[in-house]
Amino acid sequence: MNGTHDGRRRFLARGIGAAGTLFVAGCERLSNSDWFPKVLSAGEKASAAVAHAITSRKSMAQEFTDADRSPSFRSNGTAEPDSDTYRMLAANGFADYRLEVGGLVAQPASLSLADLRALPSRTQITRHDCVEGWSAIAKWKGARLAALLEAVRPGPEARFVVFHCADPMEAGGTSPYYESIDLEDAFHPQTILAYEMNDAVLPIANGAPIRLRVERQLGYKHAKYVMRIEVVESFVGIAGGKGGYWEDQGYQWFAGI
Amino acid sequence: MLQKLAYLVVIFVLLPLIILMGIAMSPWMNSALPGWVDLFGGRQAARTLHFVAAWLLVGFVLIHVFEVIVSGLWNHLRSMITGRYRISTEVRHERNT
Repeated sequence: MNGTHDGRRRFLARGIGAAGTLFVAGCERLSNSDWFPKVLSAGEKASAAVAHAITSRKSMAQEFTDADRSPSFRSNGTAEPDSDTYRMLAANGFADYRLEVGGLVAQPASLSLADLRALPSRTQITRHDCVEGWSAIAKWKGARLAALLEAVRPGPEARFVVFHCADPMEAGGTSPYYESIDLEDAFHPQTILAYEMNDAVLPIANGAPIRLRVERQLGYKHAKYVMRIEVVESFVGIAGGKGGYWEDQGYQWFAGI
Repeated sequence: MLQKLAYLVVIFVLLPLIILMGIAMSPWMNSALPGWVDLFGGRQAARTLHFVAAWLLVGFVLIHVFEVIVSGLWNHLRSMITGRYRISTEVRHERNT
């Protein structure tokens, strides 16, 4: 009696194991195929199209009061960039920091922190939603990206704004973080290059000296440690070509989901 | 009875719930429908309800497919597409035993 039970149990366990192996192997083949990732990205495009169709270009992310702020704002991803260039800038209080703005613009620029603080600013208390599932509310102050772009004047072929960051994502100082947004988000009133968080200078853990705030999208779009801004027509030739470090690993480029 | 109840819950409770909670979790939809997420007590509450609904749907699919298989796979699949459902074999089976 016991023997048959053991046999049956072994048979079941093997069956489940085999089914699991087949399933994983099937997933592997699907994700390596040409057509399956395209089907999935069609879902992403449909989601982005619907989201854009039912919201106005200037719909505003919800804003909160001082009392709503989270007691602490988590530092996620890089907490301190592992780069000598960055460490030298930080040691000097970012006095030598320059934000390079180039690409498809009529007037490339190189801005110091004082230049950025002189641009029209916006202060907003917003909720940061991480793709991992946590959220936190903080107050942000920064230069309006629209004002900066109006100064450098993107050309007619410009479609996206790419943010190149100081923090390497792989060991050995390679694969610096980068992100990108379209011109609709770039000119949105709540899209700012933040230099202050909760009424204090932006801490290194949260992206000093400059981090992007693009409030209608998930946290990984809010690039920290922004060093260079590039206006482009497409992502061809930039790292993995998908418009962001996590996008190159398979994340959605449209993170308004 | 339980089966009919399960179908009603899936169509009228779980599927609408997962969509409405998905909208409540989206920062972009938040800008289109301010205050929507607050009706459900915030992001984390919406997230919990969204995932509970998702796992209940997965459970429903597993049980549903299991029931189709144990009650005669080909007969059921044919009846879904053509409407033809053979019961004679089962009757004969019962007589034999």
